[in-house]
Amino acid sequence: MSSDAGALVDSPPVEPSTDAAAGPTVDAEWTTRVLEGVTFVSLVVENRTPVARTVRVDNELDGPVLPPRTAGVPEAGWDEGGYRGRVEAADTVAVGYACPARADGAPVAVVDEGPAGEDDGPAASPEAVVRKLGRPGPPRDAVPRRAVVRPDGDSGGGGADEGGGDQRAVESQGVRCVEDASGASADATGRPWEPEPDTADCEVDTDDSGAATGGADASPGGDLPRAVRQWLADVEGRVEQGERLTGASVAEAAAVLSETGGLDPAAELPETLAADARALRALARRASVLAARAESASVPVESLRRLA
Amino acid sequence: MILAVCGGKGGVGKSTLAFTLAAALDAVAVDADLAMADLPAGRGPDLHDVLAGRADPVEAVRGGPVRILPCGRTLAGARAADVTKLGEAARAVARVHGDVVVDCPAGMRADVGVPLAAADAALLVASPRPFAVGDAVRTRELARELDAGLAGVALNRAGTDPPSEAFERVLGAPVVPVPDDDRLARSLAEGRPVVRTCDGGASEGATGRSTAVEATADEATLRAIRALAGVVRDADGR
Repeated sequence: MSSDAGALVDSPPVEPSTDAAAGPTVDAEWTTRVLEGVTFVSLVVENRTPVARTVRVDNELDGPVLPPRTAGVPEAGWDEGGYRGRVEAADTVAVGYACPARADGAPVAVVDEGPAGEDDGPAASPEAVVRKLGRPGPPRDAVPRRAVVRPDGDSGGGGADEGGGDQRAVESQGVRCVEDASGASADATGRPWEPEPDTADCEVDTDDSGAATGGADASPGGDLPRAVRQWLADVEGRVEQGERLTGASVAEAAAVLSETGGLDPAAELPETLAADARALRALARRASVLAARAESASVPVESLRRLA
Repeated sequence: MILAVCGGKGGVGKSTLAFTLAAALDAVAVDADLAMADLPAGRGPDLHDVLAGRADPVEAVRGGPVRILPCGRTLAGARAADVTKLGEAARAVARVHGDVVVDCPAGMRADVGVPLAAADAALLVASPRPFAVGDAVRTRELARELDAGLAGVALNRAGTDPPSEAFERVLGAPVVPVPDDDRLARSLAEGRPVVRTCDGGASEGATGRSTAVEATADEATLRAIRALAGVVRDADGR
């Protein structure tokens, strides 16, 4: 916060206070600072007794707790409601978090939960391991991705297996063909694994230009032309992304944004979805009219043959 | 039992030995190299799906000469996989299938740490070169910190006079030199282990779960694999 003077949206920058909720054994001083609508709460908890104590800090602001993180994992002691930690005898502990809410009144309630046990140090939990060693996944920039999320659902007999030529290049072993650039686009929706259709789903799609140029070659296993399937799959991905972001919690939204390339693509999503909706409705009208015409047309093949 | 096969360096033969040991112990091999999978895969759900919450770990185990929980091959899948779920996935497989051998990736990131934290024991795979000692020590320290006892050390592609004693002295665990055997190296790519279950040191094939699938290898290699399996069983108190 080096440029806090310029970055401050709202006053007041500092509001020191003493928390009245804490018992006489524990004292807490907090400050809040509001930046861009997010309240940053810093807190110093003091243990005034000669024994180590467990202290609970509950967020009182009207918003989710955004705890400090290492490698994407909240620091030890943090949960959805706040923080629980050990304060050594006659010692202090400093904690801080952010909360996307206005700071009205005391931001936290500090509760002394009694003397701390001998050793409540962190066990080797997977989260602790990730904090210590770092997350192993490849960086987002290293993952070939499409502009939008594509679902891995089956849109008509293997249709979802098409496209993603850049991604397919990565699949050197060619064993997974429904894996798409979005990776986790569908996993958070809890969709169970669906076996891949047997047909034509493991072809090596080396940058097929047919899809890119709008070629209408229907590949085996699908009753729609490839370009149409591709487009519908793209649209479905965007719709699914929008659905996941609709009323999403902070964690869910963060997961979606992490998978799909950050805020910029998401910022364009409403406009894109509106355009998609218009195009889909236009397509539906056109398609039903064409289907009716196709069905009503009767080519007199026999008569033509006799004439020929 | 969950055995983590690890080692700081890449290319020292972790995957080959994990695959072979899984065959020798009649265990499930879990390919935990999320970004650079090595163990044979096939169609169906894999570890990426499991760690992304799309598939059940037990259902993702494939049959074959060696039962394998394979790993996906895409970077997107690797990125989407939640490594913190790896330990629970291994435990779930162990509950149903018994022993699990986790083939860990190179390095010291959380994809090594999480299996180590879940593992009952670790097997270090090292190259018999002086510079490998440092890596082996670091990996042992990590295993120790995460409560995975060091079952033993495989000195892979050991030459005629492997520095077993030096490694044993530094690492404080039994060291088994594994000869440089082309057929062992090829067995992974071919998906055919050089041994079948060698229960309690009996000759391979005695309790094998499959027939006529194992590749051949030098007798010295087979002895080394049996010795490794024995070291792991000893660590497990069997």
